[in-house]
Amino acid sequence: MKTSLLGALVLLSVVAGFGCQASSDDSAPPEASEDKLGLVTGRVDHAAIVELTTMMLVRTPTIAPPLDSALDPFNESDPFHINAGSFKDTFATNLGKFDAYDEKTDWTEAQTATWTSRIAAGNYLVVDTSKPCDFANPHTYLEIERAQLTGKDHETCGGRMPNEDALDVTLNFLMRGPAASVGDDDMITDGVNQATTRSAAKFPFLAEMNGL
Amino acid sequence: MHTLWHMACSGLAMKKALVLALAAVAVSFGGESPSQASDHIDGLKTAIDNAADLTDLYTFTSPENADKLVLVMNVHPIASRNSRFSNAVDYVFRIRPIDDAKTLKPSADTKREQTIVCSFSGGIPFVDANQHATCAFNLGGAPENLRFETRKGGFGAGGTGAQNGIRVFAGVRSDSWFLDLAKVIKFNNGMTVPKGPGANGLHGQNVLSIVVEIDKSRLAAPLLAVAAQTIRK
Repeated sequence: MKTSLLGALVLLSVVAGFGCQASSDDSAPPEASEDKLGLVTGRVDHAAIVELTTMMLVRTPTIAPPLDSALDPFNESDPFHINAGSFKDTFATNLGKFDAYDEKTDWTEAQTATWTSRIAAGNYLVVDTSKPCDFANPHTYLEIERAQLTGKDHETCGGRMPNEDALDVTLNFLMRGPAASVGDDDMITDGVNQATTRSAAKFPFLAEMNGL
Repeated sequence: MHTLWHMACSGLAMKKALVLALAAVAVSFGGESPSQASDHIDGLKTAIDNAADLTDLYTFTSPENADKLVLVMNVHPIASRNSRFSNAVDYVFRIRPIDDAKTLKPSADTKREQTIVCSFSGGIPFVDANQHATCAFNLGGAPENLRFETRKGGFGAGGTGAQNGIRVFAGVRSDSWFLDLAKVIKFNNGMTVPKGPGANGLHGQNVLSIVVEIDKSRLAAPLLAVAAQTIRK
């Protein structure tokens, strides 16, 4: 396994580390420290909502996400100004599929419209810096969005903290609806509840690298 | 190596390299690719451009000081001790105020956006991971730059800088994302998933992290929309 991983790393690093120049000069590779790929300039990726592309947008889940042609255009978009018309139908179709997982319809039409409109047009976390963030017992990821969808006032800082099980939050949000919570008796879970090492309440918060 | 470089510069070779790399990664993970994980390897471009592949974004009130907000951007899945940030990529935190808590829509006025842009230079692939980091804080008023080295400050594979109430870390950290990849693939395909404990498919993996801690008073509003973005220069 380590040999295969090393092989993948070497391959990717060589491709990424030695860039391609526009010139067709064959005399020597370009400056290694430039890190220019030559094929890609401009926006590459954005991140905020967990599993937004790999679960909610991917059209063919049996195929690895890198091979889904919808994902690159989405990732290359301005996260505050995505062309919603290109992606909203796919988000809605996939949400319907997830909602049907427990054989119950949990999402209302209005909630579906609000959520799919939001994620088709932008990818960002919502954080309220005036509300409490309990790092030791985090239950804030998507709390603000869920409160909005269920007509309530939010109570926490929202945002996202590294020790919270955002995958379980996402599974229950998609499959059991915005009113459902992690911790309910019928919650859905993948059975993994922490990372290799939990993040600490001390800067820089994320745990030291593995294999140091 | 010269021939490999030429191969790497053709689009066809890029795809071949990607297929080989993904196959190697898939074998490494026993058939499940981390590309079903959070934002890891979520497109062809990000699969190739590893150093610009964002994996996670976090934002929360600092547990050390309730007056500060923390922003964390993880990038570069399957990082190693010698992994570097790309010298040709801007790593950007973008922050916009939300004026209406009922709609949760970020302001459409681009002039109200605040950014923290981190860029890197120096270092040698596989040999020297120490890079010169510059984080430019565009928060309104005069822009402010914070410069530091990424292998300094007592960390095994990272470095920090601090000034005017701001702290920044950049370096290798344990991947903070966790999930049972096999179960997630089954969920994605509408299959029944057995209950019980799972196995973290990213156990033991690392990422590159940029961690920023900043005074809340410097931000445009209490209710904010926060995004992470990578832009190749």
